[in-house]
Amino acid sequence: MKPSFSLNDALAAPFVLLRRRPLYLFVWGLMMMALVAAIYSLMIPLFASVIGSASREDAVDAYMVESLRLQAGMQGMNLLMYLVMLVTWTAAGRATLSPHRGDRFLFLRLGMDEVRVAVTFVGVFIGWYIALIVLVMLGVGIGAALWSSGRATAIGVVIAYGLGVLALSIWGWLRVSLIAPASLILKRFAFAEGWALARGHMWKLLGLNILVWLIYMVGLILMYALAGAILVGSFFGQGLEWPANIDSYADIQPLVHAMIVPALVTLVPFSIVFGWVMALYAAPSVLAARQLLDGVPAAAVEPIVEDAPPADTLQPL
Amino acid sequence: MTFSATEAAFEGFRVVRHHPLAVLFWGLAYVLFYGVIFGLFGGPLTSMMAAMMAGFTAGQSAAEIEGLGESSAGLLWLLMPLMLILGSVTSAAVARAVLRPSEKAFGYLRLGGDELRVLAVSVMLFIVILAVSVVLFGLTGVLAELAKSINAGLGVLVAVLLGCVSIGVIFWLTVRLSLAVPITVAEQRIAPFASFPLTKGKVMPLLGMAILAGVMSMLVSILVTVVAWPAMDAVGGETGLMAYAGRSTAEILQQAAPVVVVWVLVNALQGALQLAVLYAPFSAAYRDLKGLPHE
Repeated sequence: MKPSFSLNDALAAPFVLLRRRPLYLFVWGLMMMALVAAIYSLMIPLFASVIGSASREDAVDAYMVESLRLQAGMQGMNLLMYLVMLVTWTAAGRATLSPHRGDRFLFLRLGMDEVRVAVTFVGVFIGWYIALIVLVMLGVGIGAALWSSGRATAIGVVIAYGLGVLALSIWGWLRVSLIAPASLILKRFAFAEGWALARGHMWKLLGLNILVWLIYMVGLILMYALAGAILVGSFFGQGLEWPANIDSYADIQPLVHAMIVPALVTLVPFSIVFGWVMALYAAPSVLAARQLLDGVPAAAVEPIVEDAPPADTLQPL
Repeated sequence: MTFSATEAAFEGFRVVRHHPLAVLFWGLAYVLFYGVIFGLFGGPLTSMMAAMMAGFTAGQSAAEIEGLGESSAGLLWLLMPLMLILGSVTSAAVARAVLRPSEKAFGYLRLGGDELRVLAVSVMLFIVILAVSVVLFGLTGVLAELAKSINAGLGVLVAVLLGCVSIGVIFWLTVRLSLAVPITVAEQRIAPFASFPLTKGKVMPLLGMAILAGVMSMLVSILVTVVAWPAMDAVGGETGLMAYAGRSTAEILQQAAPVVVVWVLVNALQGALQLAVLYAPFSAAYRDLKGLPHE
């Protein structure tokens, strides 16, 4: 019987984590929130310089100078953000693979699993991107070659070609989407295995990814609505008013002080949702890969640490 | 033992784990190299970096950009001999660490016959690949021009198609020749093309291994940047050095020694780690394809 995966189980995986491990998700999200807060705090001098400027030209100049000064710091923070995303992705993957067992480090590690997942993600992205550039250049060439035989023909062919490239790029992306999860599960680079696993499941994977995206959008809207409700409710609840003129930081200081506690309260939904978003990115594909590797729907998967399968457990497809 | 691309790709990490002292030596070699560069060209380098930075922010005329390009190319030519020697010494050291791990004195760094042979092979391969590139892209240009005379659009198509094929051929050739340095060190002979028979039928695994090593080297570089960022930021970062544009090397060292020291140390560490991660897999590939024992 051909191995398959359950769309229901895959989609339910991030919700299972949310129900069973809300604290883990909160901490993962809090790590990301801390970085976001650090990035914004780096930008405070930038905004302060603009607010304190005498004229519009001075404000632009001050903004440019501060932007340049902050460039290195912002780049460093962005890199750190990618690192945290990687660590939380693998943590969410591990937690999905060990549904009945907790972990005192909340499944957070910084080891070879992370190296392998990072390398597979970056490598796959670079390969996909290069292929896309080559295909786009070919499309430009085909369009240019056909241009003299008639604009309508050239435009028609290029549009058809473009749609073909779009379909091919989505197909390619889906086909490689199980490489990182398989590498995490098998504890080695699993390019061939991940590629083979996706074969014959492209429509299911497409559906899974579309549904994940829809759930992500709904989750994000709900999070912003909740955070907005907390902030707006607190603003009006305290009877605050927006200052008519803002010439210096002193003008908004009372407002900032009054809103600090409500802003801190929003950290809770923001952190849980950010943690859940990482689970949403990782859990469905990890669970799908696990079930495909096992050859049966994963009713009772074991903790990843104990059950890393040997090389020959890949089922023939 | 059979050759596994993914196993070989990790050889650099194994080298770092088993021979951390060697990595320290390679870092010191880079420190020496950067120190010499800074001693010789510290003033012009900071001026050039400051001019480039100013150009990015304020916008530069074509003549100014051209002038900067010429001065940086000039500097590169002056640095070329030093870079070649360092490249040969360090790549031979990495190959030695994988192929003859017992010769661990001085972190596998030597300056002898192996290094001279590696230097010769590297120069030869550079010339071969450059010549092939010139021929292929020249041919692409000529054929694209011919096609253009028939139909302008066809010229674009031919240029794109042949350009892609040329890049593919150059990659293929580079992979086929990629084991030349390990062969030179292991067999102690100048054999730039001995890599050809050994890599027959192994292009895709070797290419995959090279891509993996490249990505891992990039990630290592990012990690070092992140870890060293607080230190770099504390001393003002690379932009801190640009404040000393136009001053002599001695003046810069006198006034900005911490910036220079941190910059040199971070870059040396980054260089040494990247060296191991990027080059060691090729030696491991040679060892496994030849069926040599893991010492």
